[in-house]
This record gives sequence, C-alpha cells and structure tokens, in this order.
Amino acid sequence: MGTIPRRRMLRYLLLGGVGLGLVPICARRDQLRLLSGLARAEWRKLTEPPARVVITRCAEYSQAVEGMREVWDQLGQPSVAGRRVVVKPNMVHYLPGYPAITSPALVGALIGFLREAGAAEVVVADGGSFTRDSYRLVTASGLGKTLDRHGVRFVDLNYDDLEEVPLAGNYGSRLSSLWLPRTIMEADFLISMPKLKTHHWEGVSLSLKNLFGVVPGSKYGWPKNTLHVNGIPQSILALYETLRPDLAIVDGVVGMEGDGPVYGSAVNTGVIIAGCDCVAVDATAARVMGVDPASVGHLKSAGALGLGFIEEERIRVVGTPVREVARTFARPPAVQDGT
Amino acid sequence: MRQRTRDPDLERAVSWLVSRQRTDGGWTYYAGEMAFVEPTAAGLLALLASGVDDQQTAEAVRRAAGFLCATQRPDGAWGAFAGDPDASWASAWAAWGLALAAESHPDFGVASAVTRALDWLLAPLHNEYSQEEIESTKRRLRLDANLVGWPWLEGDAQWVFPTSISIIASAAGGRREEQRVRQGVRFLADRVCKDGGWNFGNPFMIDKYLHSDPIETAAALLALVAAGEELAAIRRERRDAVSVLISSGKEPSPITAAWVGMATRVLDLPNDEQREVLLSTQEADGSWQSSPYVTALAILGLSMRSDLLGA
Repeated sequence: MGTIPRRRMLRYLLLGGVGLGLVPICARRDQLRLLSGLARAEWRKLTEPPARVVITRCAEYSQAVEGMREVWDQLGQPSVAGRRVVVKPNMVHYLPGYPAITSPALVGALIGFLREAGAAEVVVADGGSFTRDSYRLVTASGLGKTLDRHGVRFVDLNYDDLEEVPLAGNYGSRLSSLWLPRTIMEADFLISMPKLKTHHWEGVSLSLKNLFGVVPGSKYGWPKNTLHVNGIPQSILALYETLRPDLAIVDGVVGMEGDGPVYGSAVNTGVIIAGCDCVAVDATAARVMGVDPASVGHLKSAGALGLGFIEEERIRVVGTPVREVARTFARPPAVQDGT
Repeated sequence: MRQRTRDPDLERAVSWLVSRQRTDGGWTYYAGEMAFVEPTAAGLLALLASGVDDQQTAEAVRRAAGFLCATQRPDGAWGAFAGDPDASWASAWAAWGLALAAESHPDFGVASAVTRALDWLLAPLHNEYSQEEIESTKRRLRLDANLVGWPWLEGDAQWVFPTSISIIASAAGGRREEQRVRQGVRFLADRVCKDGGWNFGNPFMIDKYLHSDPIETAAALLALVAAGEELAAIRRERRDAVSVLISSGKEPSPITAAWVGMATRVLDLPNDEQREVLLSTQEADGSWQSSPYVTALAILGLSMRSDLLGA
C-alpha cells in the first residue's frame, strides 16, 4: 500500500470528520450515498493500482479480427468460460452515411473470441432509442448478417421481459428504481461496446452513456425521455453503478465528431480502446478525442464518486500511447442556453 | 364491424396467434414470459380485424378482453404490463382494443371499462412550462411547448406515437370531438418533419432537421383519419407524408411493413409492396418472427379498415 503523504492524510481526516459530522443532518439517503462515494474514491486511490486500459491500432474494419485479437490478448483473455455473455453494442439509430453505431465487423470479431474462450452463451442485445423497429436497424446496419453467420441471437431490449431493479447509485435523481430487461440482469458477463463519439448534450457518448440502450421502450418509450427528465448525467451514473459492466470495448476504428450521437461526421481514428474499468476506458477514449474527461459531467462525477479512475496518472495505458492516436474531434454544436 | 374472411394466410396467422395466447388472456412481445398490455391489445384488435370468426378465435377475443379488464387500474389507466405501478401510454392501446370489443361483443360487458379508460385518457392536461422553457424549446427544438399531446409516462414530455394511438383510441370510443383530441391533432401538426413525415417527436434538434420514420408517419396519418380528416384531403395536403410511406415500401421489416400497410389500406393508397413484404416474411407456422406482437401488427397490416379507427 505504501506510505500516505501527510497532505493526503489530512484530507482523509478532514473528509472523515466532515462525514461524521454530516451523518446526523444527511437524513436523505442520496446525500449519504454521495458522502460514501467521495470516501470510496479516496479509498480506491489509496489502495488500488492504476486502471489498465488497452489501446490497439486497427486502421480499418477489414482488420477487425486482428485488432480484436490484440485487444483480447492485452486484456489477459478475460475469463468467460461457461458464462452467459451479453454484448451491448451501441445501436442507437442507423442512418446511412452516419457512423453512429458500433461496427458489426467488430461485434463479429468479439463473438469469435468469446466463443473460443468457452462462453456458454453469447447474446447481442440493445434497444434503439429512436425507432420502434430494431429489426430494421439490425438488418440495414449489417449486424443481422454478422449474427446469422455466428449463430448468435439479437435481443431487442425494448421488448424484453422486465424486472424492477433498485438503482444502486441514485445521486439526486427522482428515480429509486428502473424496470430493466431480464437479459441484462441475468448476464454473467456484460460487455458495453460503444462507438467513439461526441454527444450534443453530454459531450461524449462512450461505454457509460451506452447503457441508456438497456432501458426498455415498452415501459419508458422512445427516446427514453424518463432518463432525460431525470437528468442525463444522474441517469448515466445510476445505470452504471447498478449494472457495472465487466468490460468496455470502444469502437474507435471510425469515430464520430461534431453533432453526435447520430448526425455527426466520420473520423478515421483507427483504434480500439478497452478495459475492465469502464470509467477509465471512457476517460482515455475522451482524451483520444481531444476532450478533457474532467470537462464531461458524468465522467467527472464518476471519478469523484470512486466509480473508476479518470486521472491520467491513475490509468496505465497498454499498447499504443494516447498521444500517438489522439485527435481533436470537432465539438458538438453549441447548446445556446446551457441545458 | 366483422367481415368474414377466407384468406388462408390470415387464417394461419390468426391460428398461430390464438395458440400463443397465455392462459390469463395476455400476449408477450416476443419469446418472453411476461404479458404486456400493448401486444395484448394489438392481438385483440388483430383478431377483431382479421374477419376470422371460428369458435377458438371468438374465445381468444373474450379472454384478451378479460385480461385487459383484469389489469385496468382503478383510475381507468393501465401499466405497460400486469403489475406495473405506473400509468402508461399502453392505456391507449387497451382503450382502443376494448372500445372495438365493446362494439362487436356487447355481451362482454366491457363498456364501463372503456368509459373509465377514455375518461382517464381525455382528462385535461396542461403543460406547466415557464416562459423561459417555452422559448428555449422553441429555439433549440423549434417546437411549441404549449401544445398538448400524450406522453409515454405521466409527467414526461409528449411524443408522436402515444399521441397518435390516444387519438385513435378516443375516436374508436366515439369521443373524437373532445378537446384533448383536437389538441392532439394540433400537436401532431407542430411535430411534422421537414420531409413531411413524422419521427418520434423532434423534427429539429439544435441545428439540424431530423429524418422522419415510416412507423410514426403511419401512426400519425391513421390518427388524422381517426380524428375525422377527409381521406382525399389527407392524400392531397399530406402528400409528402404519403411519399414517406410509399418510399418505405421495400423495407424488408415486418413491423414497418405492417404499420405502412395499415396506413396505406385506410388511405386507399397502393400497398402491394407492403403486402408482398408481409407475405414473404410470414413463417411457415403462420407467425411473423415467432412474435405475438409482430404477428398481431402484421395481421392489422393486412386487414386494417377505417371503421376500426372509429372513422
């Protein structure tokens, strides 16, 4: 563990003292959660090694298998043998010419490695936000053909059976629980597989924001307005802390800049970014886009609450250094009134 | 309302749908185990629209109506599924299905359930936005936030699809002249995309015009018919929306083909392509995608008529 610098020790004592002092007046559970999150963040920094994030070059999707093999090996070949694995790509909306969704080629390559590693079952699942017809989305995007080739089924999370799930992290939101798809809740190993892209409300859309797709339209409608009413960053944090994906793999072979998450422009970034600390993966992916993760509300909060690391010095990048692949993605169009 | 059929494709579909009904009278969306209100109401409507009139089908209609009555909340609304604590947009589907069941089967005794459902659905609603929020919505989304439609969930913003189904349900229940329906029609007019069709409800966002979607376009056009707009006037004045429907004709998806099929049938537009897509994607067992929900929609896509909209 090593020695604790004096200044940090004073910080812990102060935090502990403030925390104990606040307990009587923090009658609301979300305030207590906030406090315990801040303490957890400090504890993790003190006791845990840096998060490991893999960056692999993959110039084009025709090299998806090679790229994914390198990612898989660098990750230490995650243990999925005998487990029911659910891969959650970003299938938010398909419009020809707009690279908004995770590439089917990359999903197919991942399925191959999951099978090789002995996964008992592999399911690909998502619930599009803008159309009620996921079949059209899956077919038009080419994902359907990929899944047919691998004999893997697609579960439309918008229409799955549901169970009520208390939200583990509920920082100031009005929701204490969500009805979530059984396919997700019964997964032994959940992989969030987003696109590397900007987002007009949240700054970036990566493995944490990708979890919006699990919220079922049958209950909450399209485009899942409840999450917006509840607060986008609050909803992202609550979903992440509740679901805790085991792995994040970001498709940055072709990313999206500008008016993401749907109407942005393609950027040939040529990378795959992966790791088991989804917050660290997203923070690194943000840096690859030229975005300071501390400027992204939900990432800054996730770091502060101890849900993962966002500081550069707490992330050990394996493979290609960030500086070699970093770009400056065009920002989303300005939202004039700051909402 | 009932028109007997001898269409073997429809008969196979109806037979499959009946075979997949749960013992409580409900249907699942896909291969799950939970009965939801939307597929159950869509199944009920599909059986009523199909014209298949054998004893098994009649019994399935009765059980579906029974499921909806049993899951109705005291306030007249429904959740999205049995046991859902929240009043849901699916209430409109249930009200539509039960309104038609009440008309064709007075012996079911569901008239009071329909009245309670429509009273809930048509209760006055006021958007409580500040002037600043209204102006911000106008600037960012080019929407009139004063207009009132129907939300997916109580307390949320209002959207095209639940508004469309709610208008249809109100008309099917004989209450198309109510103020909420007129407000809903104005809401739909405000949400038209630049290409003339409708999407989920944002024709514009920040600095871009968004594309329409054939499903919402079909649902909104059906709602306008239900609200009493003349077919010829819709075909003439909503020419661009009609183009959105027609141009989606080759979409190989049963759900999209079903919705476009419903709208083109009611509007008396060419619909050979939707019919072809639907028939070519029907499984050997009579279903579509082995899904009660998709099968119910496909049956409606092959048999929808304007009288089923209360028009």
